[in-house]
Amino acid sequence: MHDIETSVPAIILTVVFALAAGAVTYLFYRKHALRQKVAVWIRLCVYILALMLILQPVYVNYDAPVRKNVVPVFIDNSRSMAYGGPRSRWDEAKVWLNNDALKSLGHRFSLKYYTFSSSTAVPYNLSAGPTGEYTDLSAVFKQVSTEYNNAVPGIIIVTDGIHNNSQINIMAQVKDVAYPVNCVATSAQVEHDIALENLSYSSIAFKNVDTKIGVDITGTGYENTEVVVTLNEAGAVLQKKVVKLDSNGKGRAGFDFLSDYVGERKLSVQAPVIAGELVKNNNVKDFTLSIIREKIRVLYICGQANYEYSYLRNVLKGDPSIELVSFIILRNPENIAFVSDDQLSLIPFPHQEIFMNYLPQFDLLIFENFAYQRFAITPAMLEKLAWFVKEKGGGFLMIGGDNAFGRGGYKETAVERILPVEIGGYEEQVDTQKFNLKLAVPQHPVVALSTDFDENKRLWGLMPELEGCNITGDAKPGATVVGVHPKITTARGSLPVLTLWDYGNGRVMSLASNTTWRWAMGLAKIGKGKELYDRFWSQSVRWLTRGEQLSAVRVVAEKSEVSLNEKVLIKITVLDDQYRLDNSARVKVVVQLPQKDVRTDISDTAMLVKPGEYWVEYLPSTAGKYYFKITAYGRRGLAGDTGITVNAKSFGEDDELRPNMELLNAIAGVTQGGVSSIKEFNPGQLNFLSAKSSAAVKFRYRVWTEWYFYLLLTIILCIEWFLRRMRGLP
Amino acid sequence: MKLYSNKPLIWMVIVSLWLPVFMSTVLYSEPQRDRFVFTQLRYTGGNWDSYTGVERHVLKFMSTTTSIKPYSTRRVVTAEDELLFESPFLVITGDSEFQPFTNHEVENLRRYILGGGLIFVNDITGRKNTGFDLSIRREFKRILPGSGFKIIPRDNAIYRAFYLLRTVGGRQVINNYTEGIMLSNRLVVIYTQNDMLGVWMKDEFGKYVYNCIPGGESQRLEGIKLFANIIMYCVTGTYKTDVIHQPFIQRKLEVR
Repeated sequence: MHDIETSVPAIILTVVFALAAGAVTYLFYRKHALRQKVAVWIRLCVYILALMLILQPVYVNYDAPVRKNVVPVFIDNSRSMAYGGPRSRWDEAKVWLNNDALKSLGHRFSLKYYTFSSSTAVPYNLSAGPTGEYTDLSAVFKQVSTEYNNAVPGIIIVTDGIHNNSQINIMAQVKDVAYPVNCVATSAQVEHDIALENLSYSSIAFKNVDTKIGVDITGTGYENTEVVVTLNEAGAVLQKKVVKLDSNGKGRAGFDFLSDYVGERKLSVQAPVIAGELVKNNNVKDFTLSIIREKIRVLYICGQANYEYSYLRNVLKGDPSIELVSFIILRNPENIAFVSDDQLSLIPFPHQEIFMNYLPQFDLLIFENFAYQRFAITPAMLEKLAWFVKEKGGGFLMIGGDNAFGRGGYKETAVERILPVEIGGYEEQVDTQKFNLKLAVPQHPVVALSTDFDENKRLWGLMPELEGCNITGDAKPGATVVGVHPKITTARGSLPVLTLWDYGNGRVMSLASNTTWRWAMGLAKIGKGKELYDRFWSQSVRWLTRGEQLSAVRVVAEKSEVSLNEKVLIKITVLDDQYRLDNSARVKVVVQLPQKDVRTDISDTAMLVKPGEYWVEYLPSTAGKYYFKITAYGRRGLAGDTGITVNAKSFGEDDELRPNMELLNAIAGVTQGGVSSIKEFNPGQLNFLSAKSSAAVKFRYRVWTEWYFYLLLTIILCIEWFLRRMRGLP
Repeated sequence: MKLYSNKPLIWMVIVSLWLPVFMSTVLYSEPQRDRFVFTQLRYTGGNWDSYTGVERHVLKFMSTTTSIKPYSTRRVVTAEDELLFESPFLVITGDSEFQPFTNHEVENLRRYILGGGLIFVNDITGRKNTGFDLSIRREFKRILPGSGFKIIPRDNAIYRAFYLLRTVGGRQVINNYTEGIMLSNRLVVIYTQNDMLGVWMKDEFGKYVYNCIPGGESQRLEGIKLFANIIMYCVTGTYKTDVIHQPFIQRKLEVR
């Protein structure tokens, strides 16, 4: 097999030769003398050689096409191919292999068969059956690249189109494929099935903030019917949604989930198993939500503009883990305004919204020197406050002053019930003398300014005096009196000043003085700054809001459940002993694998990504639960330890059971291949590159590059010159 | 002839009547507790007490119009005085150059600021580059090295802590701005050359003593409001810059 290649189309070449031949013939018959005719012939030869110099034709000799081009045929053997009825997709594929039309295709190409499912395609093995854990269509393209260097006229993939390797964007890979990808789609459908798919949720949710959970429902054989989908936890139904499936059997259920405590919530969404369903495990989706406190949300209500508010506000605002919303009464009803209201920056106090609507969104409520009755707060709102503490696990702090405790009108209200001290009526006294707080429980986390007992005692010895103290009643049974007045006594002992207790799910603290700002100023006077003051309040807020607040090491997993080929990302936040983000911590991470007693240390993968936040990645190798044990060390040794569990599972093959024709059409469209149904297989719908492009070139012969071409041209020109010179031709 | 004189008896009566009053005045000092104290710095050289008694007008105004409970009398302290640390609000006022603070005073004032104190500096001269101005800038370079005075932007809380302000008042407006020193997002020193204390001064009949130049009474009002805002800023911090206030404040500013 041979060919002539030129730089111009063959038709132009033919026309030029025809014109040259015509011109020569005309001149030939016009000349009568032999030497004239010889001269014409010589001139013709010169022209032809000159033309070849211009066109530079190449003689190409091909190998004879003795062997047919190979077309690889890839058959999906993942588990989803076992589904379908009455004949499974795998059975359809086996029948298709004996199809006459396929045999006719075999006359044109040499068909070579493979099976594939996960990352590797292997030569076809009929006896193995559809057992692949998941489907990765990119395995096909890797095989063509490795074995054929992509030099194939096209390929055929027999599959249901369920590609569930979430790490591979198959359409991005297909764009680089240079040969037609022909898809033969298995069509066997599951006759009856309810499947939950595309579960969407944020694996990290925040306490007291709604998080959205959504799931698609596909009901094969249950079109236009209603399906009940539930959100469950530990077998109990939390929420229930009735979803009407459309004419395609599709629907979506959405849940708004709110957790009122911090920790892991192991949840599931579930649809009922209906009689006749082939696959039952796709009716439920398990997942874990890590409920964290992004920030401690503090609501601070202050009854009078004073230094205490200013200082405490400064502490709370300066702590990046605290989000503060505060209201301070800047003007009382009896105050006079000498300018119009539009010149004042005052806003109405939204007591109704706060107590009846927004209170559950906070973690801590502070009342400082605040008499509720003056601001239209009703006893019902105070009941809501008590509910917030007892049932919702909120924290409550009452700070003293002329309008706090009994003088604030809290006698015989819900607030009196939740306070850890007894209170009197409006006649309750306020002592105006200065005093040093005397610690009764110096090791309590609220007042532990140092972990060392003696050092803590020394630091409290430096604390300046407070000035003024509400003379409340005694501490209630069960309350912890952390600090007392050194001089004033009650019937049962020293006057409680700093008193705490757990009330229901929440915590309450009472501080009978609103002059702790004096600690900051007094410490500054002796050159100690206000760190100890800040630490006292930081610890108080964290104790009141309980949970991980006193832990220096916090951990969250980006996803609580990953697929086998997906990396686990663990985010670890380390705080120093003053609850500041620690950028120089040493983080040790040990993974407990699903196999019993197998551990691996991945500490060297820990990277500081943000201030105080370290990330580690891990790729699970087998399905199961992986426990990540994290230990962090700061400048002063052990900062803390914690752990988190991530579930690795191979999912997808039993979830989405419908053949994915959209994907197959898209792949074929991008690669200019074709799609054919396996039941009505028609090779004419498939597309392949022409065989010629794949035939091998034996050799190419470029005449015009040879030396003898130019020698011949020179000799001919010399002969012509000689004839003309010697014979006197014109 | 009188056998005895009744003078001792009269004296005894007088003493017995006045003794309780005298004792209560001398021995009993009003408790400060959570009250706002107008503390003023007495320094060496210069005129530290430019407006004697001005605090009475200020404190009366604040207690009448706001929820602030003021301590009834002015507290005068030196920079070495321990009483300095009993109140986080300190006024420095003057009209001429004063002696440099001692190193101990400088250190005390630095600690005062780091402990949460706010210093208000008032130049009463109504002129620029005065001896007082030079002294103040010189001393604060020593107290807070590397933190010079900067113009306080108009969206700062001092312009909206209680009153919504668009202009800067004072007895004599020579700057349409107020200067300050920020530390960790906190305004720790506020400095005005517009004499914001002079606007408060009244005679015994309640009439303002000084005219306000050039804006007259409206300028006085703006000065009063700004000084009230500064006191309010001391006890509420950046409260009025919280997000929750912004829609209300923005709406009011647009209406005006």
